[in-house]
Amino acid sequence: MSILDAYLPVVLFLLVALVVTAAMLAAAALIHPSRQNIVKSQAYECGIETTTDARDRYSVRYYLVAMLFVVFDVETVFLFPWAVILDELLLFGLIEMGIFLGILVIGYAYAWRTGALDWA
Amino acid sequence: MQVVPTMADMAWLAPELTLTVGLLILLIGGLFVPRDRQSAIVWAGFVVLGATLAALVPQAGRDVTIANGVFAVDGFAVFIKVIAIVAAMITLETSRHWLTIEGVRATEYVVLVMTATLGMMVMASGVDLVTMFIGLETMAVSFYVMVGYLKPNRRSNEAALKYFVLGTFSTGVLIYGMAWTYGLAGSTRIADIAIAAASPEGSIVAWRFAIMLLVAGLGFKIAAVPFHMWAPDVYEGAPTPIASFLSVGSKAASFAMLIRLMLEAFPSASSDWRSALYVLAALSMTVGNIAAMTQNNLKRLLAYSSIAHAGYVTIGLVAATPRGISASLVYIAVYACMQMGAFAIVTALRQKGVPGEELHEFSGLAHRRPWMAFAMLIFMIALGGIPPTAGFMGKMWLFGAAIDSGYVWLAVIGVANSVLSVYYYARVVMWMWMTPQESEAPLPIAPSMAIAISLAAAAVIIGGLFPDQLFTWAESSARALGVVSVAPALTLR
Amino acid sequence: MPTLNHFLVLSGLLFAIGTAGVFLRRNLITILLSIEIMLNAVNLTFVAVGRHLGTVDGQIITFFVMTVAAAEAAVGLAIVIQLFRLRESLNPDAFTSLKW
Repeated sequence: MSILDAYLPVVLFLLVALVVTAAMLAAAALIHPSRQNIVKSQAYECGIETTTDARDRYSVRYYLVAMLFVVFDVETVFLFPWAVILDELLLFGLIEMGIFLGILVIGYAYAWRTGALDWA
Repeated sequence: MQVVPTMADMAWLAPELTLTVGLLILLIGGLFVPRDRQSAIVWAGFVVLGATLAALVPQAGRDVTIANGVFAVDGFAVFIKVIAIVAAMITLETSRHWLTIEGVRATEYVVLVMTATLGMMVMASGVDLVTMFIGLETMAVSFYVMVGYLKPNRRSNEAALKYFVLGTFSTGVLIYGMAWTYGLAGSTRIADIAIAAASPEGSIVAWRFAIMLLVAGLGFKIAAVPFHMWAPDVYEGAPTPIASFLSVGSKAASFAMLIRLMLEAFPSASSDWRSALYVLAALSMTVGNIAAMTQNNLKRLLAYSSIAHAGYVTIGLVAATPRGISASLVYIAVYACMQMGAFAIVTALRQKGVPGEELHEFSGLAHRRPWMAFAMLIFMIALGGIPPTAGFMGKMWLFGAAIDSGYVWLAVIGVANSVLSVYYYARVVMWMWMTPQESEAPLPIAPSMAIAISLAAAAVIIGGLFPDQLFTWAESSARALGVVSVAPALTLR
Repeated sequence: MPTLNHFLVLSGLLFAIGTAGVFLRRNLITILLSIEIMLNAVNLTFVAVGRHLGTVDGQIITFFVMTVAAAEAAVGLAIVIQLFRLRESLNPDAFTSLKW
């Protein structure tokens, strides 16, 4: 039963949230006056007038940049454990990480040079 | 625990470091090579691979484990590495002709062949689940890109997609098996896993589950039935030199990983994985050979034949004796020669506007290019396991090892399949000799290609006439694994 | 408190969901997502087991699996985009140039 005990507050919180939300929505639906017009049904984006539909297609170039970003982004995960034990690794650790980042830079330079980063 | 690797560790890593530095230089250097000088990049890649092979020489006959016990430099690893590097060199040589015809950039292609080779080398040496996994993925991701290298070609793209989806799926299965193994053994080191598996704590079912996941994951990579369905499509759609590299290098390295995992990590569970591999071997041989009979595309035919050959190689692992493992290693080496040779001839037939993959395009080859038809005849004879070729010797040892270990029926299935397979290899030979030639077009062959084909054919014949040397080498390599600890099979399954 | 078994059951379920997704879904992007779910189920197993054993190995392996998953995702998306440019479809059943 230990697992249920541990999660009991979460379950209670969830229940309260559901009940309150449902009650407020129901109350609003019952009480509010309904006067629709075009301005009201428009999408609200910080007061700026909307120009196009939000469900627009992304340019395929976006995916290319995103893919490169993901690959380089995930590599930083190795910096965290390295940073934690840097005081044990000392100079070796510094050189090692220099080599690791150097290889990444080579990849980056290659992507740059072949024009993978050109937007136009 | 010692964290910082020593200079001695680095010295043992010389082949891998040579290859890594070489391919990085090539990647950047290739950007500055003009488009009409692409051949220079192929040469540079060839030289780097040659240097890697040279760096491997001092490691012959050594047996050390370095870097906190995650990386082994032993005879077994060296054997597989030599196959991988030589396969990569042949791939580059046969690609030269192909790259010109397809008109694609050489830099990335050459670098990807090298990264895949690097992955294979790490797989062969890994004695830790993580090291093996990293090696496997370095290889696999390179292959996903290489299979789809012909960007405007629809078939190449579809092949890449199929290989990618099934490949990553099998990776997931394999790494899940590794997660369970790690949980049960409490370590990712092969040596520690073997100790934990000898007196298993926790449920036996969980151990079996982990082993089956590992076998299934690697079964995909070696294309054993029932995990083979990607192979024919991928080989057909992929660039021909890549299909050849995939069927040889990737298979050899995956077998290395499978053999090392089963023999060194789970010798105590041998009865479990042996029965699983028994089924895999029998199914692969039978399904591969029967499906190959109806193929009219030579790349598909070779794909099914490679599935069948994965079955033959597995026989040695089922036997799990030093003799069986040696026979498996010999057969992997022999298979590399004959398969790469046959694929090289398919590559050679590819000309501007001619796919050169269909069986009817081989018609009259004996008159158009007699020596090429003769080389193909040698490869077909060897693949069918007919003397005096190395293919015959390799199969004889495999079946002999199976009988020694008490798996008589497996040997019978193997022999029956060999007989069966002669039919479709003979079909290829018939097309070359018996049918009038369809095309009068000239068939120019690059000298490098001719040399590669001749060397492969010579290796197949010499291996068949003087097999002792190869077998002795394979035996000393197998001894590095300490296979003797595996008990012989008690009963006939 | 949740025990190791809870995590193993959860990751097993996630792995099964991912596996089912790969074979049942008919959209390539969803199939890629299913594979990611499988790999993350594996990550969960590694982390849970590592915590149970009291070693950090499990977490370290997770880093490697994450990196590999990112590399695979990048390559996979590139292949899918290239195919989409040629075929204007994301349904794997539409790709029939090769016998499946």
